[in-house]
Amino acid sequence: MISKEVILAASEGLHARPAGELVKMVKGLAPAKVTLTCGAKTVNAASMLSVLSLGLKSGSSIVVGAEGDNAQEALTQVVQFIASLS
Amino acid sequence: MYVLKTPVPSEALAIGQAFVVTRAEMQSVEVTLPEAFAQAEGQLTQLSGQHEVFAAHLEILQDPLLQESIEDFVSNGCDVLTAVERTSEMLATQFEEIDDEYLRARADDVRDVCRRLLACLQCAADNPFKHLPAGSVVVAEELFPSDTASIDLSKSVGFVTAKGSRTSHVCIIARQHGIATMVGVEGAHRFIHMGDRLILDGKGGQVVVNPDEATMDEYRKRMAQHQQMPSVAEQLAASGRRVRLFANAGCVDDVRDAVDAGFEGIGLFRTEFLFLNTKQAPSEEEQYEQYRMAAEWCGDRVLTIRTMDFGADKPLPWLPLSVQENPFLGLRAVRIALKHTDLFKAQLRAILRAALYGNVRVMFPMICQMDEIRQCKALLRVCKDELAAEGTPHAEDIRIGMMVETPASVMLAKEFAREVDFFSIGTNDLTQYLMAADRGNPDVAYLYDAMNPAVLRAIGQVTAAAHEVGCEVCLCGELAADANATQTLLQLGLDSLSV
Repeated sequence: MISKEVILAASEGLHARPAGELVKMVKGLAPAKVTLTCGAKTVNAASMLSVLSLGLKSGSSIVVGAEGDNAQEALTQVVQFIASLS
Repeated sequence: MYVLKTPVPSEALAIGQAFVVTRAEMQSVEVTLPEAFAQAEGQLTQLSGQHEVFAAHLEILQDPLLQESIEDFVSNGCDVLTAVERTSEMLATQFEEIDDEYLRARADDVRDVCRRLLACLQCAADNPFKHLPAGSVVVAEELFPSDTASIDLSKSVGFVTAKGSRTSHVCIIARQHGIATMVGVEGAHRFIHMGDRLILDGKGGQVVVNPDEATMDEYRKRMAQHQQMPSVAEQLAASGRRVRLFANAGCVDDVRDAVDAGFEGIGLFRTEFLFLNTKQAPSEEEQYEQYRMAAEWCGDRVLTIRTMDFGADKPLPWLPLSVQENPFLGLRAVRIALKHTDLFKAQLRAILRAALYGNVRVMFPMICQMDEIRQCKALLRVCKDELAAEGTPHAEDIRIGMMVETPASVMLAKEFAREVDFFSIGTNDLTQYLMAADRGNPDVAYLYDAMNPAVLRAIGQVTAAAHEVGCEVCLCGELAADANATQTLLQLGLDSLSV
């Protein structure tokens, strides 16, 4: 398991549309398994419900975790995606 | 005979027989979980063509978390039905705890999807409303979008629910079909039984269960009077006064329908359809096309185009606005327009160009300050000059109006009337702002009443001030369409109503 922290800058927090894009991206990165951790809660990034249930706000600190084949690339892509949201 | 109360008043008036729907009726499981998922997926795939809410539901159904949570509960010893119910509550609660209105509302989606799954599991894919007798009042703890799709609306005269607000999806559909709807009737699904005779008295905020003959007679009389109430158009015609009846339109099709139906013009052409639900800001050309079509349909009839009137409560992908703590008191309508003048100018240019093709007026919403209307007029002037310099054909003379929907514009009506050709009083927002009562909040619904003397006096004052300087006054908003209010509005001296 490798991980990296990223701050969500998106002013609206993480709403359905960007969350949907994120989930779609994570599914495309299989077999890597990607998780998001915010505070004490860790969820499967391939589940829209889980991602939304984190209630991420602008400024939230998110730890992205990845494991399995392709983990390094998955981690880079997901971190980049989250950082690019504005 | 007994009475159930609701704090949410409405126009509902109906007599019917109760058809109570309870969702908790447990039956033996005959379908496996994967089969139920497949069945629900099939239903939602079909429904997703009808409304986008079902596409979102499909996504929830296919979410791995949903299935995993159900399986977790099962492996911990729950039967499948309980597992689905617990999952539903667990996920919905998670959403309800989030400090974000948009995400909190997803709790209902989760519940609706789980309910569908339960129905599939119980083989109750069988529509619970299948045997709805004609003249029924559907009674339930709560009704969901998925229910309205399966209720035969021609057989229901009313809906009574324990939960829900007047602005919920179900209420909107019911109103469109003329179905009397009462929400917030606490305990309705427990205290009303199948086949009970019901009187829905929205004005009195009560449902009368199994009324005695005297009560029944009284309401039969009221219903007869209600049905005899002449329509707004009939009352205007009978008044002998020249009050024009306009229609409100939300898109070009609405304009065409209104013209076909014989309305004298469009008192309010909303332009939000161009701005919401799009990935990017509508171009000037795109807008011009729509406005020109609307103008052409109207011909000589008035077409009143209201400039952008959305707020920060609806996030737009192409216009990042910061979250507003009080959206209705925040950045919206003309406030956004004056902040994003490029956007505003594209709209004004499109309107000026389209105005060549009909009898077009332009109207600015949410005006509070003299400076705002002057800025709008100045921008309109700039657009005309630019169009002229480019040699683009456009209308030089266009009548200018503003919405009177804020207390500030009521107080300064006399001054504003000198700045514009016409006023349009928007009673929905004016009521909300004057009464300091949120339209969607059932707890203060008793205050949200456009017939409140404060609102009526405001309408009267604005009209009188406008007429002193020859400024026309139109009234749009739900009050204009309420036949019970027409006589009052006639007395207030309005020049036109837009319904």
